[in-house]
Amino acid sequence: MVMRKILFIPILLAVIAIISFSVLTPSTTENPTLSIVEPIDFDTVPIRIGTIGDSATKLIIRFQPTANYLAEHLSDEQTQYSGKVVIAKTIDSMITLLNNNELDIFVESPFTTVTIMEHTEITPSLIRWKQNSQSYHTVFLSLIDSNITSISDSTIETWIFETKESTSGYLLPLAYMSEQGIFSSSNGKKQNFIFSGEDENTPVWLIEKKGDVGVMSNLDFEALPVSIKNKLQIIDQTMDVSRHVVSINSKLDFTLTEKISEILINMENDPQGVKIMSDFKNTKKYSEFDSLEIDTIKKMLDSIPIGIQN
Amino acid sequence: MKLSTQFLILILFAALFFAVGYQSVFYFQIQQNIVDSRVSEASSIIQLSGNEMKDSVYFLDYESINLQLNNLKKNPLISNVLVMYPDGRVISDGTESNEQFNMMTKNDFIKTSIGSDIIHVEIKQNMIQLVIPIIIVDKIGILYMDYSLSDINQILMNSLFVLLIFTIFLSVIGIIVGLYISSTITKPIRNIQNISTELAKGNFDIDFDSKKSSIDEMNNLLTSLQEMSINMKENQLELLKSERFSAIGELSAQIAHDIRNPLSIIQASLDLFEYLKDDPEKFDKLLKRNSRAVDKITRQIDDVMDFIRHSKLHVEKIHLKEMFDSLVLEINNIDKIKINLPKNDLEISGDKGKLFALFSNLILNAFQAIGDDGIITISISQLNDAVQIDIEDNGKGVLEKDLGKIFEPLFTTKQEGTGLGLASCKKIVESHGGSISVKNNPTTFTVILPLVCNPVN
Repeated sequence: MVMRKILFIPILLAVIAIISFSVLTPSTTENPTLSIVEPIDFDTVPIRIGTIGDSATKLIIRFQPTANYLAEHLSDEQTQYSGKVVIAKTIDSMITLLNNNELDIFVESPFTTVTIMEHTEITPSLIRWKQNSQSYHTVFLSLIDSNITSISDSTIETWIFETKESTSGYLLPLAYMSEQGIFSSSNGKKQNFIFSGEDENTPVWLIEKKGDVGVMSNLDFEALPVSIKNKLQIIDQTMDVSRHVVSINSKLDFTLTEKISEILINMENDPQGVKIMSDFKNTKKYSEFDSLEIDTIKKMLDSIPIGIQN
Repeated sequence: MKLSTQFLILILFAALFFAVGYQSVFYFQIQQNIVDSRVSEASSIIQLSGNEMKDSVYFLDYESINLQLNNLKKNPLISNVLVMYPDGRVISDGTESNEQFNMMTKNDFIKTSIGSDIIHVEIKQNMIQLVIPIIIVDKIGILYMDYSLSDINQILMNSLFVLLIFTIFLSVIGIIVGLYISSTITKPIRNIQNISTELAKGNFDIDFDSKKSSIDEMNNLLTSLQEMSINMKENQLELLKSERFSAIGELSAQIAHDIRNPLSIIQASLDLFEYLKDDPEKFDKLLKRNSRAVDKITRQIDDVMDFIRHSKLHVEKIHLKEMFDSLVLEINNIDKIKINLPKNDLEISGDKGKLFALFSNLILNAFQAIGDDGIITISISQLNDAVQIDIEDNGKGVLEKDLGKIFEPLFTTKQEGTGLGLASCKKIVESHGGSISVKNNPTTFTVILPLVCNPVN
C-alpha cells in the first residue's frame, strides 16, 4: 500500500511534467504573416516630379506630398492622376529622364536648372520660396580676426566650398569670383579648392583653419549658432538668385502645364497646400519665375574659366 | 520494506524526476530563447540593411549594393543574401559574377513572401530565412537573408552541461536533506519500536524523556506508551500480589490438609494414652504411631521450608559417581528394586548438599513410581561444557496431560505429597544454571548441569 503511494507521486509528477512540456514546447516554425498589397491602379496617369540628389529616400519622402497634392488637384472626372517622385543621382541621369519623357516637373536650383536646360526641353516656370525665401545669395566668410577682408586679398590660398553640385556653395560663388577677376588676377598663383561636403561643415573648417575663405548661402549663415557666427566675418557676397526653380517638361500638354503652375501658385491659399509647403523645407509659396534670370545665370556660368568648373 | 528505505526511494524518484524534467523544460526554454534572440537579431539586421539599401536599390547602384551585401556576409551567421526587384528577379547576390542576375528565385519562401509589404520570417531546422521589402513610398525591391542557427546546438550543449552540474548538485542536496528528514522521522519510530520490545519483555523501567523527538505526533505516541507502561507496571504488581496471595492460600490449604491426618492421629492417641497405660504393648504401639505422625508433619514442613528458603550455593567439586554411590547406599533398602549406577565418573562444581537432595528426590520419586518391583538406571554423559544425568525407571510414567505441569509448585498426583518436591528440584537445577525435563517411554528425568557452576540468583 505504501509502495503504491510512493509510486503514485512520481507518476503524478510525470503527468504534470508532460503537460508542462507540451505547453512550454514552442513550435519551431513561424508562419509568415501575409498581408494584402494594394493593387497598382493602372487607370491613373502619373504626374512625375523630381530633382537631383544622392538620398532618394529623403527626397522622395520630402517631395511625395507635393506630388500627391498636384495629382489630386489635376484629377477630374476624365483623368485620374497619381503623384510619383523621381530622383536622379546625377545631372546626366536627370537629362536622360527628361529627354525620355520620364519626368514632368523638375525642381532644382537656378544654376542646375540652367545647366539642364542646355540639354533638354524644360521651361522654368515658378520660383519655389524654399526656406521662406524667394531668393538668396552666397556670402564669402573669413575668420573675424583674420586680415582677409576682401576676396581679392592676395594672401588667400585655399577656398572652402560645399560640393561641386551646390549652387550657393560652389557655382554661384565661382561665377562671382570669375566676374571679380579672381582667376585672372592670381598672377599664376594656384588657388586651392577644398569641399566640406555639407554647408554646416564650411564654417567649422574655416575656424579650424583648413582654408582661408569659405562660402555658404546667406540663409545658412543666418541659421548658424551665434557662437560660431561671432567668429566669422562676411567679406563679400554674390548677387541674389532665385531660391529654387520649378521647370516643366515642354513635352507636357500646354493646358496641363498651365494647370500645374496654377495649382502650385494657389497652394498658399489652401490650408492643405500651406501645410504641405511648410513641411517641404519651409516652402512659403510658389511665384512666377522671371526668365531674364536665366540669361544672367548663363552669363555667369559662361564666365567661369574652363577647367575650373569641373 | 523499511520506512527509511521507502522514503529514500521517494526522494530518489523525486530527484530523478526533477533532474530529467528540469533539464527537458529548460532545454526547450533555452532553445526557444536562443531562437527568439536570433530571430530578433536577424530581423534587426535585415531591417537596418533594408533601410540602408534604399538609395542604392533606387538608383540600382550595383557597386553600393554589392558593398553592402558583402558587409552583411562578413557576419559569420549570414550565409546568403539577395537583393531582388519587387517581382522576385534577382538584382544582386553580392558576388562579382552575380550569376543569378535577373533570374527568378526558386525559393518557395521568397515566392510566398514577395507579395507582402512587411517582414517575413521562417525558421527552418538550422536556419532563419527572412524577407523584407525595400520601400520608398512604393516597393522598390526585396532583401532576402539566411541567418544560421547551426551553432545553437553547441550553445545548448554548453547550457545543458551547466544545467546538468546544477541539477546533480541540487539532487545531491535533495538526497542529503531527504536522508536527514528520513532519519528525523524514522528515529522516533525506531525508539518507539524499541520501547515496545522492552515493554513486551516486561521491562517497564524505560527513560521516556530521552526518547522525545521534534515531531509532535511521535511525542504524543510516546506519552501514550508511557501511560500504558505505568498502567502495565501497576497491573503486573497487582497480578503478582494476587498470585502470591493465591499461592499462599493454596499452600496453606495443602499444608493444612496434609497435617490434619497426623494431627488427628495424635489427638486420638492422646485420648487413648490414659486407657492403655496399663497395657505396655499397646501403649508402645500407640507411641510409635504418634511418633510417625509427628515425623510426617516434620517432613511436610521441611519440604515447604526447602522450597521457600533462599540460601546461597556452597560451590565445591563433586565427583558424580561417588555422590550417586553414597546416595544409593543411604536409600537403597529395598531388595526387589535394582539400581544401575553409572560406571564412568565426571567432576563438576556445585552445591553438594543441594545436588544430593535433588538426586535423592528424583530417585525416591522413581521408587514411588515403580512400586515394589522394578529397575532404576542412572547414566552420566558429558556434553560440551555440561553434564547430562538421566534417571530412568520402568514405572508407569507420567500422564501426558501432566507432563507440562509436573515441575509447577503444589502440583502432585500423590495422596500424600506437598507438590513441592519436583518444584524444589527444578529450583536447585536452575540455581546451578542448568535445566531439568521429563519424558515417558521409558520415564526419564534428564538433568543438565554445567561443568563449572555459575550460581544464578
